[in-house]
This record gives sequence, structure tokens and C-alpha cells, in this order.
Amino acid sequence: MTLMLLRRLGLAIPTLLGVSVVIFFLMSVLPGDPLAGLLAQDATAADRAALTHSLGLDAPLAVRYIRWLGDVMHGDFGYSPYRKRDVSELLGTAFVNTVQLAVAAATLGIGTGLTLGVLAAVLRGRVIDRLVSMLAMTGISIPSYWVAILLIIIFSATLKWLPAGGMHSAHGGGFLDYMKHVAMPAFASAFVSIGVTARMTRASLLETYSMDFVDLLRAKGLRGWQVLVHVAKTAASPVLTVAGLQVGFLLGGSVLVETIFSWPGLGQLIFQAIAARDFKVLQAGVLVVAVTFVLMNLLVDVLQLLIDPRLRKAA
Amino acid sequence: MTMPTGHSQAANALTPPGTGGRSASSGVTPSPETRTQSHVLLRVDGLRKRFSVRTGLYSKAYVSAVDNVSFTVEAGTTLGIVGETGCGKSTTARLILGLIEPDAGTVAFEGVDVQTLTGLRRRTLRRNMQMIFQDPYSALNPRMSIGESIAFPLRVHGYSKAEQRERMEILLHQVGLHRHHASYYPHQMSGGQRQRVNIARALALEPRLVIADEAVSALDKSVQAQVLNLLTDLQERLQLTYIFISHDLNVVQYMSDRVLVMYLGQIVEHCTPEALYAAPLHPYTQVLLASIPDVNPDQPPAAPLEGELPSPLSPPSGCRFRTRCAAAMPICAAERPPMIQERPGHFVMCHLYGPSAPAGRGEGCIPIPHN
Amino acid sequence: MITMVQLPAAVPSTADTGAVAPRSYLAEVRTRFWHNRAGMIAVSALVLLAMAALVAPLLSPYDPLIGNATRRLLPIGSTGHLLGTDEQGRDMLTRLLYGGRLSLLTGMLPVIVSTVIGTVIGSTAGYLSGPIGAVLMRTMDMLYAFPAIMLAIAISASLGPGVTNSVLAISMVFIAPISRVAEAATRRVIVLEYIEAARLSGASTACILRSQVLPNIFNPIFVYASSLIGLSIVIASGLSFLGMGARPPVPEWGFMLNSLRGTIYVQPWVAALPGFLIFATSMSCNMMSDALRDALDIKDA
Repeated sequence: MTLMLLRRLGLAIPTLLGVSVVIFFLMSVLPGDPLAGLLAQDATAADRAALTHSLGLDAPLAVRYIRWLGDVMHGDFGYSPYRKRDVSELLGTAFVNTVQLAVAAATLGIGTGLTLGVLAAVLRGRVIDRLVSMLAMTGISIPSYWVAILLIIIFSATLKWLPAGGMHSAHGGGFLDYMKHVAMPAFASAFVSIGVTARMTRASLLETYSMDFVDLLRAKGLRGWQVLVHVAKTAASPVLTVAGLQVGFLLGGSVLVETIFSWPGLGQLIFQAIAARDFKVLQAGVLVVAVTFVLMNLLVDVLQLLIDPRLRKAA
Repeated sequence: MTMPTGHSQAANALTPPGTGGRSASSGVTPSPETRTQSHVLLRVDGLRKRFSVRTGLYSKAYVSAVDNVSFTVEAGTTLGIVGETGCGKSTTARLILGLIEPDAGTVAFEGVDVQTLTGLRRRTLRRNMQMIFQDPYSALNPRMSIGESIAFPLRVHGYSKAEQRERMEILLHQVGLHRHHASYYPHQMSGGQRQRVNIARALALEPRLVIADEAVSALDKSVQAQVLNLLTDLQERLQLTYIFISHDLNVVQYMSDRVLVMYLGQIVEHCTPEALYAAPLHPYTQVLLASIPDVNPDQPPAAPLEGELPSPLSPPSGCRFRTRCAAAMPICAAERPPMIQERPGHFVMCHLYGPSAPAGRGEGCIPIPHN
Repeated sequence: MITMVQLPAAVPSTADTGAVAPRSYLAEVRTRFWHNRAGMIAVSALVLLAMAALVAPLLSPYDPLIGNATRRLLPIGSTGHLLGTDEQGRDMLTRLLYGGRLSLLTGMLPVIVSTVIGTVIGSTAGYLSGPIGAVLMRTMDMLYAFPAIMLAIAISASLGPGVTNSVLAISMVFIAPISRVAEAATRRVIVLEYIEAARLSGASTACILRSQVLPNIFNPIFVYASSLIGLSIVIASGLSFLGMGARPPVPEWGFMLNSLRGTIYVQPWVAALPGFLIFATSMSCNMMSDALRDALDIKDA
């Protein structure tokens, strides 16, 4: 069992390396001038050449990659000429903000999804099951950015209950103010997760319920909720996988939702970097998102190994 | 009859004509005049195959699936191979057919070593050997009609559409199906019918040798009888040679002219079906026979085989059967037993016979209830 | 040529001689799909939308690119503009219809491209196992390690704006998951005995892959790919929303949604319209994909 854990951990390393290669390669073909914004208006060709050389941009691709990787491992992500700050600084605050949003959205989305999925499975065939199925279908089809806009229309423009953007009000604010700001972005991101999670939970539960061992449990005289406990252990596996993927989706979709709500997170940072051709920030931002996703999946896989004995190979 | 060089074990004997176990059922005993001179169609010598298995992060172990298997098959006869699951019967079959490459040993068809050939010549030779698979369902492509499945080998070898159709209909007829079955899909047919389709496909390229790997094991008993009769019939009409693999002793005895008993990748006994039933020599064979349920209530039930099948990763030293053998002796752990011809045409690999036989031994060491 | 002695069959034929040839697999699938109400509604909606988008010029007299500045931001239900007008005075209905073309295109094209490439990669990796297969799948894993939207954004950012580039970006994103499905399906099929039988027949690897493996892995791949169409539309519109896909003034739903963002406080429901269409199309695609999956689920090996 420890062997399997080690193997899984071991697999993560080449994946992370591979991810960094892909990002570096993508960014290196980015159209646009990496030197823009770093030179004065009247720079000469010689100045350009000098700066290019001092930044190491004239080295072959592989060498640049190794250098970049080395820097990143030390926490040095470079300098942003547009924000006039070190990229790591920008990343730090942005990442924390995105994590807050992601946690809120994940709790809301996965929590609600699980509840609805269980309800639908247990009360199969009734109205609520159909409703949940409809909701699930809506959830997986709906674009999160449209949900965001709808929410703004309803709660900001029309009802004027909630602020349309930002993380805090201008005059600072307490917990309630924060809640008001985070509610809509979290829900917009979470809506899709509710759909996906509910669907998978319902399907997994139904499939586990139809297995022979459930009949045995009932024959032994176990009550409904006791059976549910046993079923939950088996049904949890695919749901766990999906939940892990949801986090990835949340991180990816953060670009859209954060931009709409002006939430100062990683997503917005990346978006602004694309618009401004801020090479370094873009690279670092995407890297952080991807690495987080890989680690998240690793965590899910490890949890899977722990809860599902079938995955552990007998010696 | 020459012995293969370098082997003191497997000797190759001629089967006297007309003593096949099926002569009574088919009602036709080929007389010495009508049968062509028997000759060796297939010779297998010293076949070995190991599979590697991952047992840890950096360690590998080997499963010895087939260990030094040698035998011959006469043209027009049936060789039965019997043994438990995992004894290497199916692997042997696949080694003969070339679906798996052997680690050592030769397969010679009509005197030609298959491995010395390459490319087109090898493919042409391989046409002569075909297989009928065990599971009638998974042996057929569910997306192809059975007509297409049967015609596929013909398609591969470049027959025209018309030729394919004609031959396919002939084959369908031969196995007892009708030509309109050609457009049926596997899931629309019964198990027995599907197995007939498998037989038809195996015969498509007019092979000389057909290996039936548990060909009737997945069928109901009544259907089994029909399919076995079909196979017998086809053998006579088409002059086929069979290797019939099964774990069912009764079926093997019914079909075979000679029988091999395999255990953990090795041949432990080699004789005619009559000899196998009347006087089995190897302790494993004896227990196999004794464990066939008897209808007679007065017959005492035989002692079951002791112990578990040892792990093929680390088979017992010396004789592989010794851990379950009631007659095990010290030499059994030390040395691998040689293959001895204890009686004419009856070979056994056991220390109870030959040079290491204990003094004063009788027919066998475990009393067999005779039918 | 063939000289076989035709003797009567050893055993009487167990088949009824007068039976009609059974219905083919496809016919059964078609019938099942036909009876699936949700699926049929979805398909009808999609067909309607596709046709409307195709004949958009015939349906509306307005020009989708040029607007009347004096008639900006009219609400839904205005005379002459059934769905109102946008911030440049262009008729919404017209723009939505024309936009449908691009949206449907960016939905289907990436899925088709990635299915073809992904199937080739996955089935080859599954059949060859060994080192080649491992290398292929490890490469796919590297791409698979990204969240889909993020990867699409990153690739789109490096390729630059434009519809072609966003189609390319989304294709690349989908290749990895499809090749995974293909590889898993191939692995399941490879161990079945009819593959061995095909090899015994003397068929080459390419022949086996084409005639034996492919038809049997088609189902799971097809079902999975069809479920990606809705997602593709959403992602493509999302890219346009961020300014990385379709460029103005060509109408595209995602782009329209973004450009109308500023008018939320003035004409909220007009602003929400393009999003609704994205949603409706995506939902129809997903419902159709579900119905397809149920219809194909008859007698899968």
C-alpha cells in the first residue's frame, strides 16, 4: 500500500515537469514583443540587442527553460514591467484571493450537489428526482459567465441587494460586507459544480444500490440509513474523482468569473496579463493554476487509495 | 521412429490405426487400407515460455507457464490435452499457433520448423493451423455479422467477394447452419450456434490442424454432444487433425486418440484414453479420475486432492506435483523426474516409475474405484 | 478452386429456415433514439437552430453588422425589433441568428478534429502497449493535467485572437481526454478472443485496427465526443467573451455577451439574450448526447 502511494507520488513529479514544459513552450510562441514596455521610446537597435542579451532571451529554448525552471523553484517569477512589481508579489495576493473564492464555490457547489444527488437517489422516481436531474442538466450546460451576468442583473441592477464587483467595499468592511461581495461570484462558479456533482452522486449511488451486496445487507435486517452508510463507502469513489475535477474547473473558470466581478484573483491577473502582453505574469499565473490542479488530483488519488481497498494491489 | 536428439524424455509413438476412442460412436472405423500412411503432422519439441510479473517496485518474477513440453500429433488423429486451469494448455496452444513467441523449443509442421520461416512463407504455413476458441461470444466480433466473421480470413488472403460468399455459404452448411444466418449478428444466436460459427471460421482457410481450446466447455451438455459430433464428422470428411484441449476428462476421452495430461506447465502423462481410464500411472491422473462423480451410490467417494495449487511464481522444486502427492518420496523434492515409457505407448513423468521406483510396487499407488 | 465434398450436415439444422434477416444494429439504435422524448426535443431544437442560422439572411431584413445609432438599446418586443437592439443599434434577432453560425461551427469543428486525432492516438497506444504506447499516453497526460478552460485560454493566448485559433485551441484541449477514452476502450477490446482469431487469420496490425478494433471502440468514443459539443460551444463563447476568439464586428454570442455587459443597467434582458442562446444550444447538445448514450446501450460487448 505504501508502495502504491509512493508510486503515485512519484508519478506526480514528471507530470509537474511536463506541465512546466508545456507552459514554457506555449508562452515562448506568444505573439508580441517581450521587450515592450522595458525600453524607452528612443531605444536603438543596439539597446535592444543589449537588453535581449542581458535578459538571456537570445539563448536557445532549452537553456532558457532550465534557467526559468531554476528561478521558479527558488520562487523567482520575474518582474512585471506593467505592474512595476515582482511577479511573485502579485501572485501571492492574487492566489490567496482566488483560493478564498474557490473554497467558497467548492463548498457551496459540492456540498449542494452532494445533498441533491443523495436526495435524488434515495427518492428516486419522485418529483424531486426529476427536478434534480433537470437542475443537473442545466448545471452542466450553463456557461458560468452567463450565470454571473444574470446574477448581476437580478441582484445588483434590479434588486440592488448585492454589490456588482470587487472584494470589499470602498470603506473597508466586516464579515457581512465580505459575504455580500463573495456571494455572487461563488454562486456563479458553483452552479456548474452543483450540476455535475449532483449528477455523479445520483448515478453512483443508484449503481451501488443495485449491487448484490445491498440485497444481502437488507436481508440481514439493516435499516435504510445503515444501508446508506455502507453504500456511501462504495459510491464515494467516483464522486471523489469528480469533486477533485471540479476544483480544477473552478480554477480554470476563475478567469471568466473574476473578470466579470472584478475579483482581484489569479484569474483576473491572468486575463489582464493577456491583454497587456505581460509575458512573465501570464507564464507564472498559468503555472500556478496548473500546479495546483496537479496537486489537487494527487490528493484525490491518494484519498481514493485510502478509501477504496480494491485499488490497493495485493502483494 | 527416431528420438529427438538431446531428449531422453518425450518419445514419440505411433498409434495403431482404429483404436481411437470415438470409433464406436461414429460407427466408421478407418480400416488400414483406407487410411493413408500415418505421418507426423506436428512435432513440438522442448517448448518453454515464461511470463514476467511485477512483484514490487523494482522486482520482477517469472511465471513458468510452459516448461519443456514435447509431443507429436499424427495426421488425421486427435490429441487430447487435459489438466486444471492454469496448467499451461492454452498457452501451449498459442505457442503452437504463433500467437505467442516461445522462449525456447521448436514447432515443426510437416517437418518444417515454423520459426525458420519469415514473412509470406510463414504466413502461408500458418494458414494450416487454426483454432476454435472457448467463449462462443467473445470469439466473435459483435459488430460484424457472422457471415462477415467467417469470411474475414478469406478477405485477408485476397479472395474476391464472390469467392468469399460462395465459400462462406459452403462452410455454414457444413457446420449445420443455413445461408440466411449469414446476416445474423452474434447476439442473435444461441451459444451452440455461435460455436458452429467459430468452427466454420476456423475451417475457412482449409487448415490441416485445428486446435480446439475448450471448444465445448461453455456450452450446455446437450449442445456439447451435438458440437462434438459435428467435430468428429468434420474430421472424417475433411481429413482434419485435432488437438483437443479440455479440463473435462470425459470429453477428452471421447474425442481423443491419445491424451496428454498437464500439470503446472509440464506433461506428466501421455497415453491412450483407454489406458488413461483403465490404468492411470501418475498420481495426479489417478486423483483426477477418482474425482469424477460416480452415479453409483455404493461406490465410496475418493479422497480429494490435498492442498492448493502451488503458486506458479515459485513452483515446487523437483517434481512439481509433490506438494499434493500422497506418495511423495524424498527424491521427489530433490530431482525432477524423467519421462519414462512404463508400458508400450504409455509415458509418465514420476519417480514412482523407472530407475527410482520403490521396490515391490504394484499397478498404482492409490486404489482407483473402477467403473 | 474450392472442391469440398458436400455431405448432408451431421446434425439437423437448429435454425428456422423461413426466418427473415434480423434488424440491423443501427436500425435498433435509431428506434430507441426515436422513442426518447428528451432526445428528440433536443435534436429538433438543434435542427431548428441550425436551419435558422443557415437561412438567416432570408429570415431577417436587417444587416447584422451595421446599426442605426438612433435606435440603440431598444427593449425586447419593440416594434420592428422582436428582440431589441444592441448598443450600436443593430437588430438583436439578426445578430443572434448570424451568430448561431459561428457558435455551432466552433462547437462541432473542434470535437470532430479532436475525435479523429484522439482516436488514432488512443487506439494505437492501446494496441501497441509497450514503450510507444506509454510515450503517447504520457504526452497526453501532460496535457490532461491542465484544467480544460485554462489550457484553452493559454493556447488561445499564445496563438492569438481569431476564430481559427480558438477552434485550434479547443481541439488541442480535447485531444487528451478523447485519446484516453480511446485507449481504455482499445485495451478492453484487445484481450477479446476475436482479435486473436483475426491475427490467426493472418491480418496485419493496421487491418485489425481498422476492421476489428475501430467498430468496437466507436460507441464509447462517439458518446463521449458528443458530450463535448456543448462544452465546446461554452468554451468557444467564453474565449470570445474574453476577446480571444471572434473579432468584431462579426456577430458571435460570447462576444456579444461581453460587449453588452456595460448595458446591463439599461437594458438588462437584451444583454442577457446571447447567453441564453449559448445555454440553450449547449443544453440541447447535452440532452441529445444523453439520449444517444441510452440508445446505443443495447447489446454492447
